Amino acid sequence: MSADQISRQFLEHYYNTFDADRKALAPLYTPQSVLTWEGKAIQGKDNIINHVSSLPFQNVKRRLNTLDYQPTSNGLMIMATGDLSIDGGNPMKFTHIFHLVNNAGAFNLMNEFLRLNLE
Amino acid sequence: MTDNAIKLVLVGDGGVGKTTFVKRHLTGEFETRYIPTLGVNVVTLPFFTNYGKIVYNIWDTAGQEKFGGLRDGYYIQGQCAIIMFDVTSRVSYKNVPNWHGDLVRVCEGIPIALCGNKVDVKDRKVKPGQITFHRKHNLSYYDVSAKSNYNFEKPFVWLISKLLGGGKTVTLVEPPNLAPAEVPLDKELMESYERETAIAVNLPIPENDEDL
Repeated sequence: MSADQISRQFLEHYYNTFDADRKALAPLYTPQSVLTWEGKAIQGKDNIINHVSSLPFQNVKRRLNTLDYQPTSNGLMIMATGDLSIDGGNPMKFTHIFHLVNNAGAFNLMNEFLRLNLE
Repeated sequence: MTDNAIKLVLVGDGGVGKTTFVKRHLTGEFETRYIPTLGVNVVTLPFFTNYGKIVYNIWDTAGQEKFGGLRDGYYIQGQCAIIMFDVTSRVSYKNVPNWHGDLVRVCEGIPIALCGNKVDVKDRKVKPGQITFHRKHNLSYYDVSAKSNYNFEKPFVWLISKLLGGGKTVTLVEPPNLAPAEVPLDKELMESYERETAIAVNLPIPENDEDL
C-alpha cells in the first residue's frame, strides 16, 4: 500500500471508530503514546482513552479539506485539516496531526495533536 | 450586530442550556451572526428599560467548550458576563470557579451574573442553600428555567443596573419578546426555592466550595 492509501485508510478508520465508540480507539495507542488535545498533553493509552471518552459531546460531524503526509524513519506523519461541528453547532476549523509508528506490521499512534483553529 | 451594543460573554459547561436560554428571546433569532474565526454566535437582544433601549451582543459558543477551554479571544472586551450551570448537574456547579477564574483573568472587574438553569426539573441536585459561590465574589445569583421563561430577564436587568452604576433601579417598561413556555412552571415549587434562597443569604458562607 502507498503512503497515500495508508493515510486515507487510517483517517477513515480513526474517525469511524471515534464517532462510534471513542473507547474502541484503545488498540491504536501504547503506554508511550502522547496526545495533545486542545493544548492539554496526555500520555499513555489509558489516560488518552479516559480523556477523549469523557469529553461531554454526543456527536461530531466533520468535513476534511486537506490531507498531507510524510514517511518517517519507521512510520508516517499525517496532517488533516477541515471543519467540524459539535452536537449540531456551527462549523469550526480544525487541524489534526498523527504520527504512526510501525510495530511488527501494525501501526501504533505514537503522537497526536488536535486543535480547533480559533482566535 | 449593533455597534453600540454591550458585549455580554456567556460561559458555563457544555449542555447546561446556554444556547437554549438565549434563543428564548425571539428577537435574537433573527439577529444572530456566526463568526467562524472565533467559533462564536453573536446574538443581539434588545431590552426596553426605564433608562431607554439597551442592546446586548451576547457571545455564545459553537460548542468548543465540550472539547476543552475557550480562547482568550472569546472573553476579550467583554463588558459583562453570565456564568451558567445546570441545577440538575453538580459537576456543572463545581466548574463555576473555573469559568469565573478564566473570565476575571481576561475581563477584570466586569459585572457577572450567575444563573442556575433547569429549575423546572423536579429532580434538582444543586439546592438553593448550596449555591454560595456568588456571595464570595460579588456576583448576583438567579434560579432560571429556559424552558418555562422563569426569571429570564433578571440577570440582564441586574447587569444593566451594574453597568449604569450609581445604584440605579432598572425596570423593564416592555416585557421581552419570549417564545411561549415549553414546560409549565410549578409556582409553589418556585416560591419554596425563593424562600430557601432568602434563608440561605443569612447563613455563613462555607469555607470550601467543593462541599456538595
